[in-house]
Amino acid sequence: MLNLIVRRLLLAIPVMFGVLVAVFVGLHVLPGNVAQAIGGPHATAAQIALITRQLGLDKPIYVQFWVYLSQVVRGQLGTSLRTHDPVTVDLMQAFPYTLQLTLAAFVLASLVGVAAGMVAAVYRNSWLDSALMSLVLVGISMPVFWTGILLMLLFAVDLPWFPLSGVLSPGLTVPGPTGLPVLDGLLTGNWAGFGDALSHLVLPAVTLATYTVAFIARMTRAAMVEVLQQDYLRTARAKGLAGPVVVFKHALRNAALPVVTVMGIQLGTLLSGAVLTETIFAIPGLGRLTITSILFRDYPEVQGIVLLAALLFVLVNLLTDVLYGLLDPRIRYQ
Amino acid sequence: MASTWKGLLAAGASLLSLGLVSTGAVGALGAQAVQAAGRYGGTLNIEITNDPPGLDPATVLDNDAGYVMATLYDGLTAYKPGTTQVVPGLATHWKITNGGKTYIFYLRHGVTFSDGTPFNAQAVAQWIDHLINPKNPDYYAKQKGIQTFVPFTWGNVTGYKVLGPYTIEVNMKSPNGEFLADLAMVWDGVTSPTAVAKWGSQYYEHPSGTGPFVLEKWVKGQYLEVKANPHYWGGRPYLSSIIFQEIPNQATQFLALRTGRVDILTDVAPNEVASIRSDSHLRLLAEPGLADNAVSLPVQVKPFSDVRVRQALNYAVNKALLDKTLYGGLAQVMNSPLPKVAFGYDPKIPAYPYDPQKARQLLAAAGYPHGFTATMVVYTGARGYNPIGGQELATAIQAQLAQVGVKLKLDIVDPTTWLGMIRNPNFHLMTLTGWTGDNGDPDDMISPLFNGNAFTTGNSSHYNNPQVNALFASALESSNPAVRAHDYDIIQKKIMADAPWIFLNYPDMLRAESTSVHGFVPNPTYFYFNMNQVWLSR
Repeated sequence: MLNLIVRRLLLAIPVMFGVLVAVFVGLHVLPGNVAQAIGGPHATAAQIALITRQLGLDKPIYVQFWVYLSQVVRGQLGTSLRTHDPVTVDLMQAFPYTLQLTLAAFVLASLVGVAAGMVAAVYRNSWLDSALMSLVLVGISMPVFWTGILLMLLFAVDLPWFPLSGVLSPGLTVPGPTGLPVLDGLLTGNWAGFGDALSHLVLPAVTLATYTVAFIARMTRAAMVEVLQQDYLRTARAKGLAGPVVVFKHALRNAALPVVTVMGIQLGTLLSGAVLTETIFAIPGLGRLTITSILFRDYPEVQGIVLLAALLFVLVNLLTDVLYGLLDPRIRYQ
Repeated sequence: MASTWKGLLAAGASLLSLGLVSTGAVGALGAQAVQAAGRYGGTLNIEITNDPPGLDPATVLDNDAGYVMATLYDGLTAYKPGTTQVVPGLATHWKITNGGKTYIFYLRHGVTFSDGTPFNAQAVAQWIDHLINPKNPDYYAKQKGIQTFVPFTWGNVTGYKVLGPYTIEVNMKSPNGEFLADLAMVWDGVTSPTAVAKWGSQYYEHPSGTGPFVLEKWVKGQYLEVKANPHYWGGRPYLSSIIFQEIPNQATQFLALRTGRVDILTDVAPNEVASIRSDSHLRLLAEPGLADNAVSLPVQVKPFSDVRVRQALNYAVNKALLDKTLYGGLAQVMNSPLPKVAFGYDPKIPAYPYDPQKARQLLAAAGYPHGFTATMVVYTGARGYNPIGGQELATAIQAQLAQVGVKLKLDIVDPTTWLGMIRNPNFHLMTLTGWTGDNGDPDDMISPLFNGNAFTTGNSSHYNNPQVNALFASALESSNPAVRAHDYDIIQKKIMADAPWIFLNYPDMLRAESTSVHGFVPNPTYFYFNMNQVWLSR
């Protein structure tokens, strides 16, 4: 297992390099010239030339790439053109909010999705199954921005149960070791902060989770329906095992493999879904930083974000593979 | 920045206009508004879109930053509330000598920067020096890739001389008729030289000015809080503090106003106007804006090099219909490249009437009896001068021009790509365009767009008329308002006749506020000046 982890992490290096090349080239062939964007409409040709020189954009792209690469291997991602802060500082500031949102949505989606899928499979072809699968269809079809605004209208405007947007009420801070306000509130016993952060998290987490709940429910149902028809389950029932034991111990564990795969993929989807959710709910996470940086042509920031995102995907994939091994003893990694 | 999302989220926003939103109880006194003198205390919440990149007027050009900085800084001059008319600011009066090349400023006494540094001629000298002297250790342009207005205001300034404790002289290479208007811009807020020296490249996070408010707290990505400066020279602010709440999404911004989370909405979309008007707790503020909304025609290439073609396109577009249908009546047909609130605007110039017959005649005379095909570049989302969004406007124009045989292919790109394209000196395509003035001066408003001599990247049509260029130069070199007004009058008429643009409309400047807000007068530059006059009745 350790062997696998080390090997996969080493393999991540060429992956990250490839990603870096793609993003670097992609950003530089976009028609928007960053020097012109910075210079503004009053800029004369001389001013634009100066900015181009200052940023090293007058050098050939391979030279620019080499300069950037030699920074990256030393752990420096450069300075943001928009915020003037080191990219690592901006990333560290934004990442906890995205992580909190994504994890909350993921936990929610997994619990609700697996439960709904199991119920639908056990009672397949009943009215309950039809009702659940209809809801799933709605969940899969609703775009994030629509769900978000609808939830806002219902639960922040008409029924003011939750705050409209943001991550904390103005004036409130929740200092702590993780940077995730909800977790920090919990860990430091700051109950006021915990409550406030949690109430801000509910609507965006539900919004982001909706699609994934539906997707996981559908996959779980399909996998469970297949497993429930297997001979060994008939045997288990014939042995006189109670219904719940059969479903949870015998069926779910065998149905779990495809579900885990889907959950791994969905974690990536959640990270990208955070772009819209964060914009709607004014959450200062990576998604919002991505949009702002792309629109500003803030090359160093965008490169930093993509690098971080690629790393996260590699880690999630690795985690999925490790879970495979744990769930299915037949799978052994060489 | 949020404008991309404005387009993307149109579906969400349209929910609101469909009236699916029921009116919730909003905390405001409404009709009971106190009419008497202002009340002290309270926190005003203002919506802004994004986190400002910094709060140093010399190194940012960002609207959200400008909204906040207008409460933190003062200029040597200021704008009369609600106008761009120049009035005394930190300078109580001034004298212009040496043929317009020397300005002597007499400074206000008893003013202190928020860091305790006294405001006087010495401080102003140090402030100017850090803007014009590359050898100054605090020279503003030391950081690479900054966005700045400094070359625009100070590029022409050669030096300064302290004439007394509260008197300073500024010298220029050549006269600059809009210098006083420049100095009132938010980008020319006077910064404390002590704070600039102390914080160096980190000053943008530690602003210190003489304004009515002082930065109290900045939680990046969430909000900025500014606290009242009780010793403000212009009078103690009524409010205790202002919180600028960062809300990037248009639909959320509007809901924030509806639920009382914010008291002033900075970004008002035309499709929200009906909801605002029908809500008794809200008030719509629609003022003539300092903005042009138009289509730029590439005058150097065929068929646009023929003035008859350009005029034909102006006759072929029904501007009044666009104003009525797309802009909900919150825009006026352009009759001059200068908007109505700019100095020198001439209301007597006729606009191009809608006359498709005449358009066809002109096209035929130019050799295009059956019209032609052209590409028009279009930005996505809304812009300050086009609140309904690029695609919506472009589609309407495309349909109208098709009536006279001109077939448009739309090249729709994101706003940053669009800026990069039109600011490229080799750009020769039709494009949606527009301009929001910075200081109300006609030079700032139209010289960047139509002056062929001082080609800046704003002149996307590559218009270059030697007569107009000469008039631009003479108007800028004069500090006599009558002379300038006369020059700009001829410039306006010539540009209208040459038609380098399809002149569409002047969209109103829109703001919305809760009825518990009093004394707020929007400035045509869009920035939150004079906020010490604002008070709350809740």
